[in-house]
Amino acid sequence: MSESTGKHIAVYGKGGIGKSTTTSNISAALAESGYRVIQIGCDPKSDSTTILRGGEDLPTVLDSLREHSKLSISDVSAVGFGGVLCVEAGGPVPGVGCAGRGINAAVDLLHELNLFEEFKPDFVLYDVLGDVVCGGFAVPIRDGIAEAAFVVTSSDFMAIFAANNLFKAINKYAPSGGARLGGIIANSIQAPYAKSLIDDFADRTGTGVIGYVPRSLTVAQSELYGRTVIEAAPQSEQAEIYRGLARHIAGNHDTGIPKPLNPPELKTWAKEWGDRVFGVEAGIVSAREGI
Amino acid sequence: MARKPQLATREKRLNALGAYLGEVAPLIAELESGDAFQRIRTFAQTGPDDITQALSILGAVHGTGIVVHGARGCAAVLPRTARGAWAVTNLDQRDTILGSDKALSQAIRSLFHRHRPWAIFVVATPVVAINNDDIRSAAEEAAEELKIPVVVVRSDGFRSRIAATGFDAAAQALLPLVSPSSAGRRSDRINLLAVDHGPGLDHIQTLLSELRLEVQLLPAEGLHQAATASLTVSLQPDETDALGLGLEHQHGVPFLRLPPPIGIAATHRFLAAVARATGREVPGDTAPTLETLTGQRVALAFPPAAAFAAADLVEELGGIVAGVSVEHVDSSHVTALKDFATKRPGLPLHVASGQPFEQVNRLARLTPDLFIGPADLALVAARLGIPAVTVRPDDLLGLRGAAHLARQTSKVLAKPTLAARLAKAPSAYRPAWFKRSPDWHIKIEVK
Repeated sequence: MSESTGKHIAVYGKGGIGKSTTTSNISAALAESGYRVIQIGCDPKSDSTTILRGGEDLPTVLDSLREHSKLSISDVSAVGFGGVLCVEAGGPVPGVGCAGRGINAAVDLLHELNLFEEFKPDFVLYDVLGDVVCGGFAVPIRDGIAEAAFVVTSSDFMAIFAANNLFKAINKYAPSGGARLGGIIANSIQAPYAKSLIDDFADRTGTGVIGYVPRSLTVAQSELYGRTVIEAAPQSEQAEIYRGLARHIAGNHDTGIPKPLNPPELKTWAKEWGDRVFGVEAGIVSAREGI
Repeated sequence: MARKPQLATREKRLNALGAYLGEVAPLIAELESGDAFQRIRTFAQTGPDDITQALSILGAVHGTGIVVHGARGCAAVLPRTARGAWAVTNLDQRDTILGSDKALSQAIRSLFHRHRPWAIFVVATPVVAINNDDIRSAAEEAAEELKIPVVVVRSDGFRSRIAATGFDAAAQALLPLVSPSSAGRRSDRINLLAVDHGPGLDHIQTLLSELRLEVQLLPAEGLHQAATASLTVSLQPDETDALGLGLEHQHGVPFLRLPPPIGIAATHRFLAAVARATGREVPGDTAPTLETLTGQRVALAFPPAAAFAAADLVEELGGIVAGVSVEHVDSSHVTALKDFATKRPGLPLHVASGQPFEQVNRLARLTPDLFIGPADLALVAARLGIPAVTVRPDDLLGLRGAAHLARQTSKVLAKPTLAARLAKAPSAYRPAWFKRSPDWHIKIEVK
């Protein structure tokens, strides 16, 4: 970990999968443990850090840049729960511009403002918009911004599909020095087969699951209060799960280069799981034994 | 992968302005405050960009190759300026959608196998910047395979309003090619930074050789061993100061920042400063008197450092400086601006890169007896009936440059017929434009 700029981690995942919730709770758990943390929302929706800030508004970097020619760190950041410094990269007006390039420009600006040298974080978490749809969204794992990436996925096929796409990007860039994969965070675990399905996907792609986050009413309630689970329900089982993820990230975890499935492999794999799951109303589905 | 290197624009690095017309004193105050008000042009007739300027530097490096990664028009300047091999990836619609790393890899390899350059520069363009193409990986892979440096140039054509940012992008690409000096620095060797290679440069090299100095011309030659020199000086500070500063910061070669040796006194000062810095005897300052512009009102247009020095040269030749136009201005020019303001109190400064429409309006008001500057603006002046001399900054260097300008101005002033005939042709501009102030389209950016 660099003393001056900290360990930079990117968290990817399909939109709506709970990526921001997971990232914010990890940030909160790291801060609770005494670390200095920056969370940068790299999503034009600009809602990555909302639950760290009690739902308060925060001007995005790109909106501020649009309004002012010269910015300071205080113009585009707010201190949230546990002292987490919250930044939202923001994006263009919906329907115009290029969000990926906007994120790139926003991160460049944060470097120009010496954010990392001045705040001296232990950890910087980049919460990056869903699918790696183009070069712009691959920038955090490509240009030496993040040293490791984690992917949040549920057992839904489209979430797995997005994770596999991220693996393709990591596979392409990691050999030349891009970020390596830190692991999969299995989120919204509810269906009886979900854990097994994600485990199997991890096996097939040469990766590993670093934690399982069950679907929980505590998360939904905390979000409605504009809080992380760590803040709103610190004694809950769910909070302990997030603390476990934070401990893993803070530790000297392994990273690797995933082996993404090609389209026919992914299709075949999905069909096999479709066959296994079909007709099942309850019970655990093993990755190896099937139903 | 190391973090992508950042390139500060000239606006951020030196508080640069690309549009201004007015008194010099408030401009100095703005530049010294570190927070100059950015001006914008609501209309611009010309728009040089950083890519063109970066290519002008890189094209001068002997034995290297350039791959312009973009649409073919992005390389348009190279047929005129490049001395070595170059290629353009000629990106098309398909490349912009599907990615262009293969096209880049092929172009690098093809250029290498045909021309065997010792290093290749990959010049980024707006297409690459917009698409976020990963050209660093392609360059690193090629470098590993071809066993030569393949360096990415961080130009994108639109991040800065000051084209000179491209000079800094080129310097950032050149510096990794300088080998560290294990044997220390040689007291008899200096780096001379210059982009234009003409008779003026040859003349200055001769003058420096007379000081018993071995001159390494950068970036054209000797880039590898630039760290072995005891000193770096520049003939074109606006174009090469980032390279000089980089050599100082990265390799400890002192960078002696001097006004360019344009004009008789400035040439002597330049040589004396180099002599003192290298422990040599300061040469004498005898020179012929050349007063060919006595009483003539002269308008000038050059890059800033050259323009301020050329204004002094005009006065050395007996002329009166009626107006000066520079391509941009930044905090590195504060000393020159103070000198300018002291010598010519009240004389406004015009800041414009090209912009013939502003120049024609301004020159029509100034009505100078003579214009001295680049060919495109000399034509603008001549069409107003103003005798014009076309010179490049290289033509003005040293004692030779003073004699050259004296000769050229004498010739032009003796034969004003051409300008008079050109002035009879219909103007390209409507009369209404001449009723407006030349800075009509220059506005302070409000944010």
